[in-house]
Amino acid sequence: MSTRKKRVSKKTKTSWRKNTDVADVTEFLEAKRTKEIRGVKKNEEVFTIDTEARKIKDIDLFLSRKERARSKPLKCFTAMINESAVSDPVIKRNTVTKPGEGKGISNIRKKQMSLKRLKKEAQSLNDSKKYSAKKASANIKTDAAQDVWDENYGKVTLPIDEQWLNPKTLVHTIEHFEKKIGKKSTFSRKKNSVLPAVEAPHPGESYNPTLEDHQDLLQQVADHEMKLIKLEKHIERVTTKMFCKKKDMPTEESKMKEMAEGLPIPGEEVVDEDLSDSEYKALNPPVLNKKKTLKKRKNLKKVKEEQMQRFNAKMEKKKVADIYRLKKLDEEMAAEKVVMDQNKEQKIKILKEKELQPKKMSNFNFVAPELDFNLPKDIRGTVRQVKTEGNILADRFKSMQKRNVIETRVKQKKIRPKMKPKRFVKASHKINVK
Amino acid sequence: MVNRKKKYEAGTAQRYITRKSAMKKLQLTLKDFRKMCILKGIYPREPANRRKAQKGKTGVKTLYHAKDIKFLSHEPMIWKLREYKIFARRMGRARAIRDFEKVHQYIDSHPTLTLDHIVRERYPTFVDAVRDMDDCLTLCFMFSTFPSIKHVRRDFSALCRRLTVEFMHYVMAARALRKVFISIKGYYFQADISGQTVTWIIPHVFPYKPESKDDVDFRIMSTFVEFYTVMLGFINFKLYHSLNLYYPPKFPVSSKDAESKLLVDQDVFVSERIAALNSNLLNSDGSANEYVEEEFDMDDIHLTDDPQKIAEAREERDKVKNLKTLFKGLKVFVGREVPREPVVFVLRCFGAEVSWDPLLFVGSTFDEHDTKITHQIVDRPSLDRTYLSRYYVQPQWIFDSVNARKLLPEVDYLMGKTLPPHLSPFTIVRDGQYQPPEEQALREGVPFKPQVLEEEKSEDEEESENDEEAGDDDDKDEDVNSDDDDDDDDDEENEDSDYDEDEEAKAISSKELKVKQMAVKAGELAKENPRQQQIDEAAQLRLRERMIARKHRKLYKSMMKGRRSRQHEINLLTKKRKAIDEETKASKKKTKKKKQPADK
Repeated sequence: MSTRKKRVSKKTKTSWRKNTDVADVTEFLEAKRTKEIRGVKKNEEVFTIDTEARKIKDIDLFLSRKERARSKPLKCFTAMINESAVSDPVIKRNTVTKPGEGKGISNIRKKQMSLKRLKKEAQSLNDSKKYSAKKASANIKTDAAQDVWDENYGKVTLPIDEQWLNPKTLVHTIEHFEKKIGKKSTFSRKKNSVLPAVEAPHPGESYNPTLEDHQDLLQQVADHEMKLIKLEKHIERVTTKMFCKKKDMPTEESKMKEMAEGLPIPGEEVVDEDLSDSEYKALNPPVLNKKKTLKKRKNLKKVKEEQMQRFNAKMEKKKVADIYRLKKLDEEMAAEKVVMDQNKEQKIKILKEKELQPKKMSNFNFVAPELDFNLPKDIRGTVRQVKTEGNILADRFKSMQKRNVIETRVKQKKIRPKMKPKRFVKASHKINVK
Repeated sequence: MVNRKKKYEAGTAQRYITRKSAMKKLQLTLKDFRKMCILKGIYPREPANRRKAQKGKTGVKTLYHAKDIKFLSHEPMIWKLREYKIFARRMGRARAIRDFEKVHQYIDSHPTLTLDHIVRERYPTFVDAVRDMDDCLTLCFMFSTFPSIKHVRRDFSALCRRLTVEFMHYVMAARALRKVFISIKGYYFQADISGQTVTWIIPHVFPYKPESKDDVDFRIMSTFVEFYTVMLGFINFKLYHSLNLYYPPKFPVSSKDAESKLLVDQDVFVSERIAALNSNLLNSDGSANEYVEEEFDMDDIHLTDDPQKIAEAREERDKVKNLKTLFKGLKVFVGREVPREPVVFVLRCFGAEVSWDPLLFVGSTFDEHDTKITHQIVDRPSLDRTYLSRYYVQPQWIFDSVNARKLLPEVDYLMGKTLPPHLSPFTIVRDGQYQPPEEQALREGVPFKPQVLEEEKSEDEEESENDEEAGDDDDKDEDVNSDDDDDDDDDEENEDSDYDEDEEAKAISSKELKVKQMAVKAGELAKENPRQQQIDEAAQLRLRERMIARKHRKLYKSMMKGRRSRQHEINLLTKKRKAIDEETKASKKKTKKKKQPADK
């Protein structure tokens, strides 16, 4: 059996809500709301007949769609908007205050907060200053207000005399704050090529060249072009022309014919004389390994020995004779030396020529850039009308490759496999024609 | 058992390292490795024996010196590159999750490479750096024309522009320019900087042409330029200080300028004036920089004992000294159709005063109507309004004058005239090379006069000659005036000198008379027999030839042989030319003779 408490606590908000009977009030309000919603009015009272044209809401066309949308409340909050005409029955609500907010904060706390705010402001001011300074310095990237070739470049200037510093501190400072300037080996510092960076231009490249210079340049260009054409022809000959075209390819018929060349054609009688012999004869009869007889071997050995003896005797004789041939030998040696010297010179010459050529540093060969030239009709003879040729940047790039500063490379094309869809014919769509 | 030495454990195989293993060793990506190699000046190498260097592997691999890679591994920059890798990763992530607060935070504290110590390391002395400036200048001048494209940021090209303009100011202040050439590719310039010959190319002033990606690897080139900008900055600093100039260049501001200065941003104002190349910079003591001719006595230094060489050097020095003040006193107005920058640069390098249309660019100093203007550079067939007081010459006159090292007669370069060919100053004519008289005249800057005509002239009567001259005068009345004046001066001088000589001769004769009366006779001067002298010299030469070391004897012989053959060729060609000339002369005479009786 449950007993109802006679006296209940209404001390706190929760206990108040728990123990107060508000059923009648809610019932009344609910009834009022339903009345409002459904209404007990006649149709005429509720609805009116439109006699005027509906007014279109004027939209500011100058605003973008996004901006227009922004002026409206968000759709997700529409559920929270109280559209009811009934005013909130609870007039005064107790707002929840966080610690440190509201009226009841102490003066000390207030002071603390303002101090904090001030600090933050100062910090942001400082930051913005720093940022602008940084940005300004970034704009002028190398304000080289220093001399790198100065003796004291990169060295730390100590605030006090060295002797007052702890040796450990000194070492630490130098280690961490001095600029380290490495030393390349003398070998690496040497240039990789003997060619000049900017090569002297061909005089025919002048915007207003002499006839001879220009002709010379054109001749060079033409020679180069001829070489290329010749090479192209060669490649054509050894590749494409090596294979016959499809129309000249052997057909099934011609192949059959070729394979059956010389074979007896069925139906035709062949009179073969070999067949009459009836003895089998291979096309390549086996070779017999005939053994040499002992006598023959001995003979051979004897002949060889005799030959050797004769040769040795001859050499001995020659040695003696050579003593009287000293002068001649000297001459021979001198002649030999001349040849050797020539070879040596040739070798040096080749090496020197090779020095001017780019080195092989990657899998690709260096391709010399083509000469820039103006055709005779393009030469106008005034600076204003000059027809520019060539690209300085590409020229530099090639020159660097030529001088072995960078290796020759060829831009790789990214090959993406073509995803070609495989096509099928549906079984139901297949048409079998028989 | 003793450890047996395996193949490729020593020698060539250990001296080289492939690019792939180098990258692995340094823990760098290919992109970073390439960048580092370029910045540090490490090049790939070609081994003498590739099979050994590649440890028996076939194919051609890019090889580096193992020591070079070891050297790279000590570089603190490597840490920066790794840091940058991490930075890029973080940025990528923050961007992907659209955390822009973090993106900004990362950007503000992005790692930056400092390259100044590398400049010092690669070029231990200043002269080393100057020696390697060709590439640097050409690339910087090229990049300064670029808009912002991939791998080239806008501020990058602006920096290049600033540095190159500063460099040009130095060249102007030091009067260092020596040779110029207009080719179809661009303008070639050669300057003498701290005793080093530096050559660079400036592209023609035409709109930017986008380049195809296949020709050039832009990333590599921009890495080069990244280093070169730093290097050029330091070089500029040093060069400016060598002339006692302020380094971030400053220039004296006149009161007229000061008014306009109020209207614009100060930085922009200064940079625009500097880019105009038309004002002298400030010295470090605050005065305007003026070119001072250096007093340098060559006689103190004897590098060789060869008197001929010393004489040649002296001649060269005098020529250069003249060249430095070639355009001094000229007041030049540059037309609108002329490429302003190269022309102004060349003119100001040799001391001319330059101005242009104020609407064309800031920094013009006088206007077109100034009566003191001596030359106006035009590149169009005709002008509506011309002044008699000035020459209207085409731009090639400037360039040809510089190469000839003297002011060429303006007559050949007047407005609308067909110009003589523009020769390259870089082709050095060797001693033994035939030059037709026309080319010789062009190189020496003397107007060519055909021999045939000259001789004819001498044969002709004086009257006709006078007539011709008068005709010439009518043709070009404005420009001949000054020439005539000059000629008159010369004549007067000649007369003066003649007069002096006469007087001296008289004085000497009177002295001799006096001497005869005295008892003591003066010793006779030993007469030098020129023939004997020649014989002696030849004998000495032969002796010297015998002294040549065996090693070089062959080279000497081949050299002499080449010289002889070249001389032979020259003789042959000059003979031919002479024959042709005479033939033409004879044929002309014939025609004249035929004509004369007809006239009578």
